[in-house]
Amino acid sequence: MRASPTSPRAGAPAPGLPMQAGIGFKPAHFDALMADSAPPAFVEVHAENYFGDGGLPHRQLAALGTRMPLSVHGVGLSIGGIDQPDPAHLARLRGLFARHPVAQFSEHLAWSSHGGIHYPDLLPLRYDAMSLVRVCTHVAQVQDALGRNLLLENPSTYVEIEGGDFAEPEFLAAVVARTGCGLLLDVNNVHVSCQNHGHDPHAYLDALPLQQVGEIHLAGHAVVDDGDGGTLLVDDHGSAVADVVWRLYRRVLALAGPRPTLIEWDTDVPAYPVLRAQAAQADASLRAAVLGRAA
Amino acid sequence: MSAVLHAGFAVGLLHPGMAAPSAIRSATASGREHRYAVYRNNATMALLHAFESGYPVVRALLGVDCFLHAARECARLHPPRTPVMAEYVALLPGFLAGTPLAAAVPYLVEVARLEAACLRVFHAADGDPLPAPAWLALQADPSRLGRARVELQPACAWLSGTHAVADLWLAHMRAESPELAELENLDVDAAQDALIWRDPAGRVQVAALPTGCARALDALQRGEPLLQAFAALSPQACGALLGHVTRDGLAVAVHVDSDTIAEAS
Repeated sequence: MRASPTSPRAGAPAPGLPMQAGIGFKPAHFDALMADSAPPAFVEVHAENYFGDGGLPHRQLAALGTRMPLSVHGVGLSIGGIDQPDPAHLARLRGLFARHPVAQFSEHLAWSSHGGIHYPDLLPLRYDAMSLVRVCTHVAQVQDALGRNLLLENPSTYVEIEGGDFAEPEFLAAVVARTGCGLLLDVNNVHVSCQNHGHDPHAYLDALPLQQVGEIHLAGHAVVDDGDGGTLLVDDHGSAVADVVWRLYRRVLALAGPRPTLIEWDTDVPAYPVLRAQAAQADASLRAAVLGRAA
Repeated sequence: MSAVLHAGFAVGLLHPGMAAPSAIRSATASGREHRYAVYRNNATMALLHAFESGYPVVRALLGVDCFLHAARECARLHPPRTPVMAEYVALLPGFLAGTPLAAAVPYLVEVARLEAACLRVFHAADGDPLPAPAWLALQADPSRLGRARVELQPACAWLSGTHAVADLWLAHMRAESPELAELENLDVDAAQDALIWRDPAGRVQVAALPTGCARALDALQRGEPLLQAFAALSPQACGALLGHVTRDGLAVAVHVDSDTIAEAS
């Protein structure tokens, strides 16, 4: 019998990506990226953008794959949903992995489909015992179907659902322990969610099994009105990484050691050099973390 | 319990009038609505963005506000049944055909169908085009050419227009931005067919073809030999269409009698 919710897949997440900075790939950056003599250490793409049969998207991905490791990030599997992961979606992921040299696959602790309807967003779930069983079952099903461990990402949330049994990091830690999946630690999401719900980001990090972090995400966020006279942070991936998030990132590196780190910038996408500079800043922190641990 | 929660959370995402789910923890009702509105906004904006990026010329023909209103209505009445937005937005032409907009802008639905075809062609499977020398050899023997059954690329499409559908689309896409297109020199009521294919760089190309060419391509697709498929076309239409098929690499293989001619053969 393969992995089930109570029998994790053996071993820690495979070290699929280099312990350096990568960038979220935008087709507009393709030429600049291919011409860069010192490109980022890896690129990440959204799986569902490569579910087509052919053409330019696959040609670009194949070309990038000859230059650097590829990370595939799913946004539509709805692992936190009520319904089981869609077999057709899993088959398309398998097809993508068969076609390109994909070093790593990640998804979210969130849901995006219900009753056959897909909502293009990452929706929050109640962190109760039933959800835990369901998420673990879905993660195990995905890992079995794909024949590889996935990294599960902590979401940005704007609401908390009444009636939960676990804090989010405890819930994530339980999923990791039961399924053997790794963590994709989105440091911006930690900041956004903790700010939005009045939690301490350092306590959040302390509750996570940081040794199981296979990748880190960094991105910018927006600040909006929360309707109660305060502010709400929105994970819009539309600006540079905030200083407070860089500081939290350096703390993660001090606790966990260097990890593959991705810069995400998906709306108001800047010119390639701007994105490249953000990755260089992450690389500087990664080097400092290596030196700090060697000292 | 969770199923009820998820159903309640989902249903209001595309319906701004609905109250936020009561299971959302919040000190005030206003706070609950503001927080839930972030999800509603994210989901709606992602859908609208998918429609906008797939239908730049329909957007220009309707004006941004009218287009977004129609797209929002389409998403509300027919929410996605696929997580792949490039596939989901293919329903827009059918939706527009059932609205008063179709009568208000007579060529709207045809242009929408053309843009849906562009999206399909952009993502279609790759095929090795039949090399030019193979065509030259065939064209040297007209009787053999007439008997040829042409296997077309997965990445090509065509449609028959009752208006100048291809020229309309081209005029918008060649303008500095589609909203700034000049249509004064265009006879929009002149019927034409449209051919959509992918160039060697993977970019989608559109060309106007004389009326009748779409039916000829239908016939080729059904496996009819070239002479029979092109029988109703004028010599000019014949030349134009064959020119595209040969020069633009629209064929992956040609079958003549019992021979198959293809890139790999």
